[in-house]
Amino acid sequence: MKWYCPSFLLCAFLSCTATDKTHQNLPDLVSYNEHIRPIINNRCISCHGGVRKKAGLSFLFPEDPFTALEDGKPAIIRGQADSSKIMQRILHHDPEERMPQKAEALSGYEIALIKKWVDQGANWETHWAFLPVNNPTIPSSPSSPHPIDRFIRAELNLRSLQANPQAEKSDLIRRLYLDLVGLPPSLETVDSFENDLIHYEQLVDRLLAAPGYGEKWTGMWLDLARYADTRGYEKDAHRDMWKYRDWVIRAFNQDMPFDQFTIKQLAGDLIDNPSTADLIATAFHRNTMNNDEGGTDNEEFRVAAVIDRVNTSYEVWQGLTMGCVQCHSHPYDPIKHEEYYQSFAILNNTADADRDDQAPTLIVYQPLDESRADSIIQFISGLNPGKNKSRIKQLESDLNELPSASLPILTELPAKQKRVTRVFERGNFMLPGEVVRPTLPAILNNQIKPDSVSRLAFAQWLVSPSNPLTARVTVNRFWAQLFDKGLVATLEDFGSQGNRPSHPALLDHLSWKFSNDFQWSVKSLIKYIVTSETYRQSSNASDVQLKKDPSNSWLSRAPRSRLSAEAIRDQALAVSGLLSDKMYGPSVMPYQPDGIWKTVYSNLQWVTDKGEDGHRRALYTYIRRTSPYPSFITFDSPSREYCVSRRITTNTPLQALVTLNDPVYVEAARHLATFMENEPGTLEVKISRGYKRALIRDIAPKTLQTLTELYHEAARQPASEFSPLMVIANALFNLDQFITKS
Amino acid sequence: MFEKLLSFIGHAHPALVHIPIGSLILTFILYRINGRGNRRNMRHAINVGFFISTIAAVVAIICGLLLARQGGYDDGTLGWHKYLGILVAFLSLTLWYTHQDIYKRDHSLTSSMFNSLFNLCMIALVVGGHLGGTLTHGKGYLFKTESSQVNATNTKPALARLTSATDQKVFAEIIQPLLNDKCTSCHNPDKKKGDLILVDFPGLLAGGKHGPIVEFGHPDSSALYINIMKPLDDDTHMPPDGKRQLNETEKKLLAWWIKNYKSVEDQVNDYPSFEGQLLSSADDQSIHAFEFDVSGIDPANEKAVGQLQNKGFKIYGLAQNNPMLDVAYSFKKDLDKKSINLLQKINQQIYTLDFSNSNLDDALFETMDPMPHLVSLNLNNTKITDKSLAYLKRFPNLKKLNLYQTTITDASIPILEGLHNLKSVYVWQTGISASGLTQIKTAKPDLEIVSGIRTDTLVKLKLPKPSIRTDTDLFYDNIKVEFASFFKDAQLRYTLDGSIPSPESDLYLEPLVIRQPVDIKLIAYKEGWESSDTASRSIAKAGFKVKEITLEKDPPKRYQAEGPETLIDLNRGTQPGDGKWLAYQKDDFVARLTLEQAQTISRIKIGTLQSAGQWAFYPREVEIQTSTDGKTFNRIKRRNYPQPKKDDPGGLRIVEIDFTPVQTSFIKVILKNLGKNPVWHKEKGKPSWVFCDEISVE
Amino acid sequence: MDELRLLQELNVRKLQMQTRRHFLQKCSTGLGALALGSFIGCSDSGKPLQGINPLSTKLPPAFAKAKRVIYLHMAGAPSQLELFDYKPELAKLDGQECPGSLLEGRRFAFIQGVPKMLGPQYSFKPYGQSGTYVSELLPHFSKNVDDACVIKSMFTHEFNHAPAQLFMHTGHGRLGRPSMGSWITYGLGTENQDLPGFIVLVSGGKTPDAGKSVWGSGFLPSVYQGVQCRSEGEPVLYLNDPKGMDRNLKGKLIEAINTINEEALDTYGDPETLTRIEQYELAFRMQVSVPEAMDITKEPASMHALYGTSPGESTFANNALLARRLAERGVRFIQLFHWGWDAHGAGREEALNMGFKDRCKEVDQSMSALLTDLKQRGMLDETLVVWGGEFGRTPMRENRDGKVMTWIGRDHHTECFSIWAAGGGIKGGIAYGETDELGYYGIKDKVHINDLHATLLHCMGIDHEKLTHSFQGRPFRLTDTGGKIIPGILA
Repeated sequence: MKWYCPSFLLCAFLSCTATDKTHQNLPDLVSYNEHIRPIINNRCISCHGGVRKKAGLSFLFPEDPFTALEDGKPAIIRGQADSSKIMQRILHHDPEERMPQKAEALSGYEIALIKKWVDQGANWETHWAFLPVNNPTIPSSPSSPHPIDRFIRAELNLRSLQANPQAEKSDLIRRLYLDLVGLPPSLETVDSFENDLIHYEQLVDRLLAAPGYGEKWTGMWLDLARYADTRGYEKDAHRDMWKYRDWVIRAFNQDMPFDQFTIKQLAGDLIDNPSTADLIATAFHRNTMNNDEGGTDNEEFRVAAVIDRVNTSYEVWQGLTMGCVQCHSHPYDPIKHEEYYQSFAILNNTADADRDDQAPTLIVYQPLDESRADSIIQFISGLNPGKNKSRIKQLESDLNELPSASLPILTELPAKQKRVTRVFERGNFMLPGEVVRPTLPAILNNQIKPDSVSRLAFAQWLVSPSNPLTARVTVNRFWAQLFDKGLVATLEDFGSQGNRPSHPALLDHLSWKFSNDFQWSVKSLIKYIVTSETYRQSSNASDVQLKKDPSNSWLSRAPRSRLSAEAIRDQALAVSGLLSDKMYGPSVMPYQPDGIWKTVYSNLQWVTDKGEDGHRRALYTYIRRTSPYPSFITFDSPSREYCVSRRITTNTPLQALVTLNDPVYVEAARHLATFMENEPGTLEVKISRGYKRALIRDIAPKTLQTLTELYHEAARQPASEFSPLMVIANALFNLDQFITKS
Repeated sequence: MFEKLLSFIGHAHPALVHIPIGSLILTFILYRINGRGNRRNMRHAINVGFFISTIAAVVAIICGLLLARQGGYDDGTLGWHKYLGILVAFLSLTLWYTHQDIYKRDHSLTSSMFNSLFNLCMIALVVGGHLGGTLTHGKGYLFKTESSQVNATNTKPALARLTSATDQKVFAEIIQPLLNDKCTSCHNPDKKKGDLILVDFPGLLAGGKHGPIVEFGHPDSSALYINIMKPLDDDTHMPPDGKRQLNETEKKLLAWWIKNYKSVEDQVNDYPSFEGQLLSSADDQSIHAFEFDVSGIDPANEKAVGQLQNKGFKIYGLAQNNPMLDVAYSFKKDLDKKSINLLQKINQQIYTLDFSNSNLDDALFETMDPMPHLVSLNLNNTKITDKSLAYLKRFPNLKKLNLYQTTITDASIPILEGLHNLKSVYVWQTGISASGLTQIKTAKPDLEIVSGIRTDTLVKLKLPKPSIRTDTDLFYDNIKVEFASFFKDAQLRYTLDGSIPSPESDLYLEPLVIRQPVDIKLIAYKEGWESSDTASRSIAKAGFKVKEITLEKDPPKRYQAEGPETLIDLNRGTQPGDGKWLAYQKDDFVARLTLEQAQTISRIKIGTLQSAGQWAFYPREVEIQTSTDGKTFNRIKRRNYPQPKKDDPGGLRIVEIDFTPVQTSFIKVILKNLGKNPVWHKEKGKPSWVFCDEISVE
Repeated sequence: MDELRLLQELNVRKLQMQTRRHFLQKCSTGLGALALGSFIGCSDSGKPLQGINPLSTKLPPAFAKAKRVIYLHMAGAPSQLELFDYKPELAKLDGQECPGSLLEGRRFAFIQGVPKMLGPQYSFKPYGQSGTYVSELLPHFSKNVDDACVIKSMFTHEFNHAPAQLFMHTGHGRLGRPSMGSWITYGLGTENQDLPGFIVLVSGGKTPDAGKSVWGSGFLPSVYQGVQCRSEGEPVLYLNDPKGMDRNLKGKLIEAINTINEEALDTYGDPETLTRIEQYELAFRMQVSVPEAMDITKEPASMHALYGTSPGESTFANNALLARRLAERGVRFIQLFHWGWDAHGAGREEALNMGFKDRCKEVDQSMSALLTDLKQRGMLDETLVVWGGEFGRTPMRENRDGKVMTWIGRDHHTECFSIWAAGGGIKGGIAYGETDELGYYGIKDKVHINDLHATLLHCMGIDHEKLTHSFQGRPFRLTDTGGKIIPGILA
């Protein structure tokens, strides 16, 4: 008797857990993506996936579960759940045999779903992100004219949430400025906006045309490009990369279509008669690290660089985590081990080879000298080398006089020197496997696998209509910059382990518009988004909203997010009138505490820039990978070793110390204090003006009172170079509302 | 749902199957009793018997098939069981069908056939039934003896079994149970994976299809051990991935047995002791086990914890799912009775209590309540005295007691001896005397007494050299001089006449104001330290005042410092980039000085530096020119310097150029740049720098 | 799920904030529930719950023998053959050519062609009851061997400094992964809410080859990265009040800031605002607690004598003394780096018979003092101390560019090297693992770096397979895909 009681119980348990849900809400048609994939990904794939195929079973590729296993029978027989092994195993009475093994059993509902799905023919569906982008119909909603709002409201209604009203004008204009150009508006602009002398749309156009626009969005792109001014690893020596940074700024400001933007950076050297600018663009993939340490194997680190290029290309344009595939087939997404090295092969034939001289490089000039250099070169080429030898010599020496920099770029190896790419077993370059051809992963291109793909073709394919991901991933990035969170929260992973989009239709709508109507114009995309009411609404959170949607996934309110490391600094310099608007050129070295740079075998020195260059936008600050600018790191900027899609925002005491004590902010406070000093009127007026200058909004009576009291406290102290008004300014720079965008 | 119903029915098979068995046996008995007799009701009963048996058998078979569908049974046995079952049903049907005829006359043939059929049916019934039993209870279930029963169900971990006694049989009582735990589920006469049977010693000796699996004396060449030790992902690893694995101890036990095996009768004490006992094993749950059973202890009162924390206590749980607490109030000075009383609310949960460096004293300690589970108490650097130690009895479980830096004396020794569970006590820097220590040691030999180092024997260190600070390095009429030592409480004694200071020399109290050139010597003194080395500094008057200084060419932005005036601000630089240097790459350094009035000059001092790493080298040549009108200059002195050597450390240097006195107010100083990094340089041939931070005319 | 918990907690903390009169009253996070770990477990959802102080203490899943770690890294990799791994056989082969079998298919940083074997350069003796062999270069440490466990069979995969140091500290040979200290503070938070949970002290004049990444937080939130405390200038960047900012005025300033931020909290109901308020209070407290902890002038002369400090400089001895002060104050992970062990023989400082001896002098007295001192204060049994480099040195003499070099040195070696561990959870007085008689390969109980990490985490009460963080679509952990606890060295 004793032995079968358990199985009776199990039986009873299963049947009752089943009954609670099964009958009511089992969908009529079970969808693989919607119902089954989540179960498989959570409960099965870790043992039956790309890495481990226990009993030869995998759920990765559509054919997998239907092909015979080690014991000759397939796991799933279409339409016959009862005779499908999968059912037998998940229902097995012996816990040792029951799937998932050594884990709790599937719920009755999950089992019922799987059974129904198998009985309905076990239709496999491609992961949503791999399906082509279509142009979804816009939900009809009387209230809001803007399509974006219709998509958002539709979801809100489902959850009986209410969208917030438009934000206060002061908050709105600050938000818009910080989002579009990364700087706060001037008081004048604020006044004219508050007095309706200028309209919201006009503001948007003005900002999209401003040079600051390019600087702001370049900030985002440089994280992806892992841009830095040094080479990384032990010596972490200097490297002239700034010219590439300038290229990106110009590209954004000229609103270069994103497809061009892509092709130039990945293969600018391969397009027909490329311009200097096109070559500069290819430095994107020269941001990979070099190891100049004594006794390193250059090949090892060249390979590391190419691997980084593959991973970065896929993360930036496809939102795919190829990193996994370099060692084994993708554990979660249908990409095979060898397919990784087929992509590797595409990028494996550039001339660079982790050499200390960084070759191949391109001689570039500082912004001011550029025109001069060009004209000289022009002139020389015009001259007849035979006749004017001496003249040419002269000119050339003039040219050499100009301070120049050598920018590492991509160039393709000549055909006879091409490298053969082999699979690396377990990702180890010491264990080369069989040879692979340069081509694309099957899952990502619906036509037949081309036999051989060039770097140029690869870039063109990324932005071709047939590629389902690029538009989605890109649109999602820009959305995330504006709303603090992507429609797909995992910006870096659109694969099956990434989050599903909160608003799939909206994502597709935007992607479609971006790649079709807008012809890849980023400015049009941003304008389209920021003109929506969803973007303009206020960020106050009611208790209801907090309860129903704590993380604000449904956007019933505008997000509240801490500013980026760069924005915090730029803002402080801007409102204190210190910020220099000088653009482009070599990276600068603003004040940094002594003794930060102590790296082995390196003579690189931090020489603080005097004057204007001490107050450039953060974007231009020199970034040394092994020792980045301290206050930026404190505010979560990455050290640019690898591509980073998403900065994690932290909230630490060290951040408080920066905005309280860092001489940069003290100096800014001093200047803001002077501004207040010069404002005519009572102390209250001065403080209020200072407050408005810094936070754009009008000061609340209580705040004013607190600050006035603080002023008097400070005034009571013996006089020092820290004047009472400086104390006030110092306080302003540390207000939650100052370092937060609301 | 239907699926579940089916499996439900399936599971009923083992129950239902007993009906046909019972009724068939009954029918058989009735039939035998009836014999050739021909009693009507008997025949009826038998008929009914066959009827019931047949129906029940058929039902049981259907259930059985459903059950078999779910798999997990040995196919061989299952097959036989199935077919015999069906045979029984079929026979009982035929018997029922043919039963009536045998009572008719002259059917002896039929009846004898009927008899044999019935016997066959009964045999099929017994065998099939037995196979059924095997399927459910495992092979040999029927004939299992008591002892093997015990082993089979014995779930004590192998190690626990070992430690119980020394005269136990190694194989029978340790190894076989271990095999039963982890191996026999597949390696039994029934499944025989790899033709290997591990249910008994002969089976083990016999080995499997790859031959013998143990080579006694050599675990490392015994397949049994090798396969177990293989990495989990190895296909031939045993037990297969997914099955319950042997833990480290069990593996060691197996090796230990194979190594020392003499006979199957070996007893534990025949073997060298098992060192695995000393090892805690990683994948044993026991490694995470807590030292005593906490199941009886409730979680602490959150409110009390919160209150204590707001009073400055640090309170952390010891581990997840463990109510015990780690409570600390250290480096704080406002401990009061109220907090001590609050502790009462969590006294059951307190496991460690740390008052180190707090204001705890006898009065406060006295009010402390008993803490049954307190294991570690830290009183380091508190005001408690011998008096308090009396209260330690309130902590019966105390194992670790930290008294260092307290005033307790030998008077406490008896109390310490009285604490029975005490394992270690820390008495460094207390009043406990050397003799006291020996006294405890003798009284409690296994108590660890940590008395620390004797500080008086340590070699005194030299104090760091004090520093001499001035705003400028040279001065015109007067200058303020400050002294400083790393230790604020160090005594600074100095002389100004260049003589070496003594403990009697002037004591530095406030900054000095110097009006004449001096030669300062300074020494720091401090209790417990050797006096410092002598710091010395001679402060010189500056040369002639310079009215104006200009440079022939602006230096690159990074090395403009505060402009040319930097060269006459009386301040030396320390390193490139400290904003005190002017420097040129490739080009020479050319400065023009105009004195406030014409002077007779005979010497010019020039501050420069060399740092190969930064491509900075001393000038290759220094030239001095003077002029009467400030327009036409003519050279009065030129000095060449040798090429820098590879091992030349470089650094700051003052170049002094002496020349025959000349009356002038216009001077030009030219430092010739080396031009290129020397041949030995890592980046040889690259344009080098020349640096200058100060020029003084005398 | 987390989000709802967040809401409850938010309210509790709001309440707390309103109930106390002045923020300086509150000395810790002061949340009973937090202490009992009912909110945060060890492996909670990667991202720090917004609004919850990510450094608040979290419970180890299991009872932890060690409360904190002091990790002494000898950057440049000291030679095991001159310190712990005694090889009499190698001495006999001194000067003979290296057998080809040892060179086939191997890669060295500098060795070329066929190098000569190089015998131990210093004499060894067994010490303590355990009879552990230690070289004459460590006279002080030899007195502490019975407290320490010397592991002779460590091995690694990286033979260049930067990658090897990354491997040692992040479990992976490339940049971008979180360091040990970050993982541990991520898992356990910090014990002392007035100090950073992960503090780094550097001596030898240079940061390690791999730079600050060896104490970086990789893809973990930056709040978990090591805070470098410096012995010159401010102990922590931007810690000092700016010139002219008076201390109690700073107090008032912070009070004002927080009053205004509390208004913002009421308007926007943003949990981050609440955390910010708490962080400003902590910052204010840190400005006092950090300099106090970092001030070694507070130590009696005898302690300076014990450690052999040189006050005012940034020496290993000073840092060792600081390490103890920080440990006393409940810092979770204390990381010391001492640079200059790369004894190739390429120059005087890099020579086994010159610079190497100096390095040993620099660390011997103070590392042994650290053990003695922790013990006499009753802290050793709850503090895990680890000493070691990033890889080993070859049993062959280095012959850079195939030439015989002026100074004696050894090249980088990955097959085996020695480290020692002592204190919390570690069994003292044993030597674990063995190498072959040339000291070329580990032959018994080889210890992979992942295994070492797994064991360290275990001593801290953490299951190395459970402490994970999801990044780029896959869960990462310190021990990457490997790691087995080493029962042999556990107390």
